[in-house]
Amino acid sequence: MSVTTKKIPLAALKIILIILLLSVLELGLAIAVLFMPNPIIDITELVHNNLPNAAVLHPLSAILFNYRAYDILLGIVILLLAIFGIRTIYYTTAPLSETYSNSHSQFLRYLILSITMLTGGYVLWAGIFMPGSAFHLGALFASIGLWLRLSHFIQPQPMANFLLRFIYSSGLLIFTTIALAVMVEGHNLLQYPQTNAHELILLIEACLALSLWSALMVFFMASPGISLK
Amino acid sequence: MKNELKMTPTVFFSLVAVGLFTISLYILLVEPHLLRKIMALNVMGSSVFLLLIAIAQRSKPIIDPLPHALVLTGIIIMISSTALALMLARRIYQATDQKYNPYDWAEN
Repeated sequence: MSVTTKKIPLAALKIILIILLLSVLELGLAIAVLFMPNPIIDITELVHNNLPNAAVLHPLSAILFNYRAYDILLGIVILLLAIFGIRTIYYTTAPLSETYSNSHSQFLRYLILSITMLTGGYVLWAGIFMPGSAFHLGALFASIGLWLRLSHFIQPQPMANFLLRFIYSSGLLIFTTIALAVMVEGHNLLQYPQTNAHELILLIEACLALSLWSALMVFFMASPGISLK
Repeated sequence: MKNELKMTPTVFFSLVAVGLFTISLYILLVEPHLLRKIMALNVMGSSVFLLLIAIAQRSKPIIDPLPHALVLTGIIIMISSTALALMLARRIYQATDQKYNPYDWAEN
């Protein structure tokens, strides 16, 4: 009895200590946010002034694929690393039997497919003057893919599927190839040549959509199966 | 200095973001279940996104696109890390014969 009465105050004390420390942290963060200094350089103006040189119409796309293309490049590396990790776990366990039903009617299948095709066409068209179409397209493709997978149109693939491996890594492959290829012409890393910057960015966006689509499929569908002993 | 302390949307959302960040840090430290820890990490990341979006509104009349681009990149990274973390957590609970659902887990 005495042990339990001793233990509870200690746990409560720990919680109170954590809350106190977090309150101090909260206060510090709030002060940092409230008294944030004004930026020395007006980045907004800089972005908008350099937009004619950026080969895209929207400032957000210009930052993502031109000024700060490093961010996206490293983001894709992380995406690929996550796929590696998930695939390793998935293929070292025996897959579970799938229990979801296959009861959609034929009409519903064609209806959903045609609606998603229509939406995909719109997103592609809207990507000309709106930002980040690669991400939206990737997410839309993934939704179609997941739906096809859940209704057993697509089966889980074996590990050594070369096409699938190529699709997973296509975003990073094309991006690094372009980033290094422009150096041959005497530019800096990721500095696109003025003449065909627009085409290069479009190619990168397409491959990015492809690898995002495959990555999202893996993220949502892969689950650890039964341990192989 | 006093002008900056008015309750503009930027200040309001920044304070909400700071609050969310601290709450999720508390959950991250206190909760033993991995699924709840991963959810806390997600809320933490979202609070940083909220802060960035709030900062983007600061520069009137044109909205600053740089924080928006950072958030877009951040979302990709958060999705991939969450997916990997969930996979690892499920594998850990499976390998140690524990329940994956936190409500089942609490009764053990």
